[in-house]
Amino acid sequence: MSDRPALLEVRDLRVTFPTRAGDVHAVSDVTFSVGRGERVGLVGESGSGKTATALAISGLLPQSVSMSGSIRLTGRELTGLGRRDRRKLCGAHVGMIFQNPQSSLNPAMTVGRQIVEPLRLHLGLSRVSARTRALELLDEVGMPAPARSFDEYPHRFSGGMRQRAMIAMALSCRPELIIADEPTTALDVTIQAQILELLARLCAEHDSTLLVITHDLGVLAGLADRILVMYSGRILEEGPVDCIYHRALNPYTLALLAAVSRIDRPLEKLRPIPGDPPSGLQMPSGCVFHTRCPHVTGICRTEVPALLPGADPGHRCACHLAGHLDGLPLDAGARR
Amino acid sequence: MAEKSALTAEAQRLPLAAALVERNALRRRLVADPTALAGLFIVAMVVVVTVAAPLLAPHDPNAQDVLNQFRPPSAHHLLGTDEFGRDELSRIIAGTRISVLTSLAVGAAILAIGVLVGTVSGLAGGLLDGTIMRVVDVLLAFPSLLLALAVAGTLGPGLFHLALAMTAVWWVDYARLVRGLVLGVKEQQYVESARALGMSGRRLALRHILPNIAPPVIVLATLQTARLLLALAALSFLGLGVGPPTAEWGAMLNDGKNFLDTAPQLMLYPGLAITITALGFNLLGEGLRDVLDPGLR
Repeated sequence: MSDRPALLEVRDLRVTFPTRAGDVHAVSDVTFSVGRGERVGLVGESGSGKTATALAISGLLPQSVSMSGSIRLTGRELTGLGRRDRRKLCGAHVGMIFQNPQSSLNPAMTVGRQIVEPLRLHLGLSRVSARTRALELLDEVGMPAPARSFDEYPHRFSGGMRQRAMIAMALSCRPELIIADEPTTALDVTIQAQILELLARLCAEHDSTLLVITHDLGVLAGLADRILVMYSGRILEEGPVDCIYHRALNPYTLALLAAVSRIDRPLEKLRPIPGDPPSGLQMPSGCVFHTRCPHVTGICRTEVPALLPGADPGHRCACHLAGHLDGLPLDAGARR
Repeated sequence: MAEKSALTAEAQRLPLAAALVERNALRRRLVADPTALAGLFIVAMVVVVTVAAPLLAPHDPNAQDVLNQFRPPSAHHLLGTDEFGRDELSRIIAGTRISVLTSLAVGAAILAIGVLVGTVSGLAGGLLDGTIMRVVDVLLAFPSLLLALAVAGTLGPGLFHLALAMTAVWWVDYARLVRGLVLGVKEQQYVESARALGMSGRRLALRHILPNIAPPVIVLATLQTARLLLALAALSFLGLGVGPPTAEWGAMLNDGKNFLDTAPQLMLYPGLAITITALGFNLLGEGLRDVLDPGLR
């Protein structure tokens, strides 16, 4: 864990979606904390429960979804809060940046009014001061010609500009915690880099705490301080960025790293992970990754591995074989 | 999959929203569309006649002149006179006011009720949604004219009662449409992101959902006005609504039917008035739909 005082503490979080076919366990026993000012990346493939975790924190899960465990923001328990209190928290204390900027701005409202709305709602600013603040925000996120952009409708904007507007909205009330759910997935690579740089800069300037959710380990390299690796609703490994990139212990993390395309590595070395993640309806017994793990042994099928500390400070890994994988074929390539 | 459908929805919705928010562009496209232009012209004429009816009517629509019954068109009576010697043109003009204003009032009432019920139903979901939609299903299963007839018959004659009966029956179309649209829009990411900014349910509905479902509702409202006009005429023809001597198109048709073989023009004129007005609203509705939603063409 981090040496900084915790801003967000998630303990034993479980999220279950009831469906016709049965309960889908999206998140199981997830425990982590994020220190104030820290930038944490939550990595996993589709269906790993990363978005469900983010929605649970921001209180946006549909009411039909059952959730248990504890989520604390600056020591305040969020799980039992009423709808009204929850709403006050959203926007004012937790800001969300969504995946698809094409669809996360209201097409029938000018960009300016969309930024002004939370300012007036949460900070009680007057029309004029909210406008001034919104213009500052647009400038801050690098929007060209803020005064003109203010009165434009979102369909006039490019994807990158929309994502900047989205960031301005999320940051408008200076929330303590910013959750960015796949902030660059829908963008061109060059725009991606700009947006990531913008996020990193804004977080540094405001000492904001950032939780970035992504399936792309490459996105986190320059952005995050710490990485949590999720698979099938569980955290399999967590640790500081260079620890995860260079000294990962979990076979899943290693497989993920081997699947990242890199310009300095021949394409043949790009290794997909065989098989599919288990369906949320029927979780495998024991370790959730054992159905695809190349090193699976007997104990993996029966017992859930605990998240145990590794050699580096803050490094934790949930694998029965952690530390015993040296020389095995998979990790040789991944570790470079 | 969710992302793809969101994108498709985006692609379909964007021109709508763009057309709606950019009023200049909307106006230009309305004028460029011949259907819409024709509809707009007729509706504008009807509105002028409605507003200025007392000024435009050459005679008092209720002034009887028993010596001049069933007169053919002349310079003095442009459309001739009816069975009491009343000026037909003045009665048509006076009837415009009653027919159009009643249709518009009922139209506004069913719009308000339908949008409210549809939005609540779509947003609430679950049991409330199910209950409301079953009520709507039941109402839609009845022939609406017959149902309105039954309600108006129970309430007794009179224009106000007729309007009430029509309101009670016709709001369901809006409720059904609006609920469906709300269901689609409420899953949109911008609604989610507004929720993530801590907006209340009412604010979400009023500022983030309703403006985005407006185009199809506007189109339905225009088409619905034509339907209401026809229904009002039908119900008045059957003897509900205004009593004599008030001029109203449906009632005029009813009065004229007794003289169909001798003076067919007494049914022709109100019939034409109804047809042209309804046509105007229909053309405008069709045109608006083409302009607001090119995907439906």
